[in-house]
Amino acid sequence: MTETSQKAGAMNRRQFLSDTAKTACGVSLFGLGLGMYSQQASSLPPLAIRPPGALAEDQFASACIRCGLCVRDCPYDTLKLGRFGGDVLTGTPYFIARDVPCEMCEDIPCVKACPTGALDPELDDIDDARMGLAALIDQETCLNFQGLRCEVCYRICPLIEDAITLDLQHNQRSGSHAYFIPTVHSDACTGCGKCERACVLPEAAIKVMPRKLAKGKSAEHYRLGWEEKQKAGESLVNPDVEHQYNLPKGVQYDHGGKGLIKEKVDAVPFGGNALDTLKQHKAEL
Amino acid sequence: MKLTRRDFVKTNAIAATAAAAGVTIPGINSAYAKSDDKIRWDKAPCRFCGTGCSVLVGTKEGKIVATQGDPDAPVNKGLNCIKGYFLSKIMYGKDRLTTPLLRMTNGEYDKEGEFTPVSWDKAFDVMAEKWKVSLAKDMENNKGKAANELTSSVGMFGSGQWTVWEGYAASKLYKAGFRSNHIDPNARHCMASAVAGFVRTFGSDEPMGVYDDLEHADAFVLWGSNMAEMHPILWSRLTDRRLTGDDVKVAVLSTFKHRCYELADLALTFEPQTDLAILNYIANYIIQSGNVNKDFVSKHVNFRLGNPDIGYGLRPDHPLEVKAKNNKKRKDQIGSKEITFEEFAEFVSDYDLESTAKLTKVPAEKIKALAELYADPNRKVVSYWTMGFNQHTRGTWANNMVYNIHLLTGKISEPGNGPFSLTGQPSACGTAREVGTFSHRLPADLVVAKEPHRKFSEKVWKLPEGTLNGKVGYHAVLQNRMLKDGKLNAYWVMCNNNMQAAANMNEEGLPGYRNPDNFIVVSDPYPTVTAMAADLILPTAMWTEKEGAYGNAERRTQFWREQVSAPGEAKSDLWQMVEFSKRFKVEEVWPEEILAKMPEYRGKTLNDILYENGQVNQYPAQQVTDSDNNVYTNHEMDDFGFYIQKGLFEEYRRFGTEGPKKGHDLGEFDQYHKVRGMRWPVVNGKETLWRYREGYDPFVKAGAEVEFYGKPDGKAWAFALPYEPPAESPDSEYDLWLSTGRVLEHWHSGSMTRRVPELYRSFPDALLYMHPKDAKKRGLKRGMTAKIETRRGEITVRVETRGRNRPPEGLVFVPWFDASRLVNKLTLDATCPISKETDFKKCACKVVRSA
Amino acid sequence: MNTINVCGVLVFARPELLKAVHEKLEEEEGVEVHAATEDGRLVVTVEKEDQQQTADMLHRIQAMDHVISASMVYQYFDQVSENEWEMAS
Repeated sequence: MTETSQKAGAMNRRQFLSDTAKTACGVSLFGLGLGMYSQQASSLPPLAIRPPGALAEDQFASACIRCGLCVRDCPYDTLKLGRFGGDVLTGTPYFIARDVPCEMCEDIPCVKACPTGALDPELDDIDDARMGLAALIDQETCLNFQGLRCEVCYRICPLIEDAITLDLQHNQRSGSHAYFIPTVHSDACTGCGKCERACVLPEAAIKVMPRKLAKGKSAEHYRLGWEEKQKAGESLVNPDVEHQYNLPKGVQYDHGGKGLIKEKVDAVPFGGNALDTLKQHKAEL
Repeated sequence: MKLTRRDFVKTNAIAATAAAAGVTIPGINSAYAKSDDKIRWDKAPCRFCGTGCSVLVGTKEGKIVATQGDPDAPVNKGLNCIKGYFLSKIMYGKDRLTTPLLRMTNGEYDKEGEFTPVSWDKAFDVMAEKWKVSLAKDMENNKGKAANELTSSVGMFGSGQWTVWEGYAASKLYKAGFRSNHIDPNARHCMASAVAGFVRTFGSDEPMGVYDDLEHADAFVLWGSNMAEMHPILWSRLTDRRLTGDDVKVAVLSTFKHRCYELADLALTFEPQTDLAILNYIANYIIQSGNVNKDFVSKHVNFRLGNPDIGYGLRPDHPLEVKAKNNKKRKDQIGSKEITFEEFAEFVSDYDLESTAKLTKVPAEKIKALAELYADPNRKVVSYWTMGFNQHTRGTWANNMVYNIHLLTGKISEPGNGPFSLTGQPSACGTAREVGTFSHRLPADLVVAKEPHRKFSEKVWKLPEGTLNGKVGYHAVLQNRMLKDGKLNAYWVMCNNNMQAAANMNEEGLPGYRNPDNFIVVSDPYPTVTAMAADLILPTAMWTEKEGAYGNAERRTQFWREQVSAPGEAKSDLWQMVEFSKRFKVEEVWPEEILAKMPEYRGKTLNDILYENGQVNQYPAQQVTDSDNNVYTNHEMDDFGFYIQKGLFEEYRRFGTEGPKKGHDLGEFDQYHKVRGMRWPVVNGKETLWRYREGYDPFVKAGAEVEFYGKPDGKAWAFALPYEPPAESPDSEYDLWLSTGRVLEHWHSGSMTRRVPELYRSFPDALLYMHPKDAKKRGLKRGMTAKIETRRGEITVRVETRGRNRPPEGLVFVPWFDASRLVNKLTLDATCPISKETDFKKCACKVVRSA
Repeated sequence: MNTINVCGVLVFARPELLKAVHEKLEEEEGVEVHAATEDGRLVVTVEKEDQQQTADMLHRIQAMDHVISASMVYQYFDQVSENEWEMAS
């Protein structure tokens, strides 16, 4: 049992006390429970994820009638109901990705089961669900940042190459290997949590959180030039002209290319490597 | 001062208690702190794939508590894949076998009985009795027969995961001791086609290049290799080269889209089996475009026309075998005749761009672009391949044909240029191939069928002339068939999980093991599917529970010392074989006419003749230490009283240094313990990087430039071979291709990786990867359970239409690691008729909704 | 074969009666006191043939007069031959 799941749903000390009180004095407890509803509404614990199509948290809290039908129809036992005294609003559905992630059923039975629209009936493609957002939180422990070939989160992703891609980088330390850095894309990640579930570390380095917590926001006052250019399909200001340079004889300067200063290929009478040169010599002997 | 273990434990107890009390006891706290960190680190190669990454193994209080990538290892420079990351956990599965288990009823062996713990003595008693019945029968049958007509009913299925000396000891036990060649490794399923290809083209097994090619090449072509998942650290190097090199290109060929496609500049998804046509088209293109390296070809290449229509390695009464022309005799299957370059050019000219594109269903411009990569004289190209090529009913041909391309362009045996077959097992090269644990081989490229090779082996092994059996034994697939047919009766499976791994389990493997005529022994650390099908299970020490050596795909031989003791009564494979050999008097296994040639062997045991033969036992017991003077246990040395690993290796080494096939020299035993492996041939302590190239390879004659000295005239053979269809293709009833394979998280049958909780969680069950349209047509949705059926069996698996593998319409992929979803109930045991390697990549199946 | 069965036990005694507890403990077979503090803490090891005897001894210590508590901090149990494990210090 992980620490997180204890927080979210399992029996804890507070709940134990509540349950004891319940048997002793059922009536007064109702009032107490109501008080807790309002207290909890704004504080869904960060690792409790709502089912696909859930409305924004405060709307959801009022729309959900705690019928439990979505939980009943979940084929994978992913969804749980908040228990009395737990950190999740009592009777409302949630899941903890590390325990059981969402399997992203094509027919979305949980949404179909919802009688009130707390789970948006308009959601007909599970890829459009935005339950939460995966974030690779800890680069210090994530094995990929050390150059190991893990990428378990990437390969388990149902939207591999859309929601998680690998950013390839040169490993300066080894000199001859690459880093494969998993990168989450918020425009595709549904927050299903399979990545968090699969992370091989004792505590996942990648975690799914409500989008509000996981996502930063870019400012309006600065744009990324290369992205704007890509969006526009051309330079926003007319393209640069071809430059001419003063150069030593036989040298080309390749603006924007690789290996900026290039000697002309025929500048020396030898091959590009020793073996080629040896072959060349041999042919002449 | 000596500190006993009791003192040590007590010091820890005091220190821990003092720490809890917040008390400082002079001298104690520091001892505790020191002992807390006092992990002993030593090197070992990774237990998994053929890449051969080195790890540092951390041992504390008799248990492996941690590992780390070895930063000084040239292969991996401190890195590991996720399997290597969990190496420290593979030995500590809760269900390790710790005692022999025999099927018994009322205290007696019974084929239908329940597995019951027995002593090693009892296990070997029952086992030896069964072997002796078979061996007596064999001796009777072989009376008066010539060496190349000897038959046997005892066999063994071994492994490319055996240590070098275990493979050597096994080969000796069977070939010299029991005079049976029915010993084959699971490497038969893995790279037999690469072996046959290398030997056929170059006259010598194993790649000419090394991993350093990854940093020298500027184009990489992957033929049926999902290196991104199966050789993760090599893929990391290849990716780095692609990222940092100037204009480096990567081409990937497969029958379905996989993780390598993300890096590919050129990705070709072709119709299964038609890679043969692509290979011929490339040869044709090189010739037509005038890019043949004429100087190289004229000096170093002969051309041959290979026999077509060689069958599919199925049982002889199968309609396909009845129909085929050149499959009845071995010499017809491998047969070829000399042709000229012009005739070769004419042969491949049939494979033009248009017809190749049509057959392969690959866009013409992609095929042409691939051919241009090879043809471009300014581009250095390495071709890599694994199971897509090797597990192929024309696997040997495919290997031969990729060599054609490298030979025509002369892009071979030099930095950054060459064909390179990757291996799937940690010692497929070091043990299975180099030691020669195949049914047709002897150490260092020698073969049982050649009398001079047998004679040389008999000399090294101090055997009477004529002891060795000259008839090629049963290969892996044939072993299962012969078990079923009752011709192979006493059978030992060691260090592999062949019930799960071999094709057509329902029709061949399982009935063979359960045939009442047979006695099946399985040695394994864990209770596998194969163990379940056995009659006797022997608990086995694994990986660093014994001293060992592996040889990786780049000819690098790497040693390790025993780090920890095996649990319970588990014993190493080596110990098991040596102890078993003590149960046989030579009179029980050799006929009088052999024994008469060496009367001094009379009354001796096989152990006396094979292991305590004055050579293997010449190194007395000694203390095994490392450079920090840490002392290591060696259980085999303790039990046998001599340094058996060293004795076996030094005897084995003579095959390379004195044998008739040159260029297989290994270094001295002690040297290997000091280095992170050495790449053979090792001559005067110097390793070889590029074989067959003057200057790099000490065996090439001065002035030859390049010499393929495995062939008598030093010239490699380029083979003209056609495209031929697969054994089974989809039809109206079984309408999909089925391909099997691996995933990064699990290794082979999952017997180790599925016992690591984190790896299990990261990829718990096998999935059925299929195209969404194929799923929809069958009323299936992602996540539903589907039934896959072939003519041989059915299994149910969950459908995955997304994720890491994206098959095209018409093909499905299922990994085989999952013991709960045995995909080899479905597969067909068709093989390459030359290499005898099964084609696990192609058979016909149908997929329906599961009730 | 030999067994190693060693426990480290942290004993709290009433400070004013520390000396008495210390002496009492030392009288027990297989029990050694390695350190004591003025406020009543004692670092103790218990070495017995098997785990049952160890448990009995722990109970005895807990039940001793003037002992406030005894808690097991470290336990090691293994079957090994002693000379096999000799190591240089």
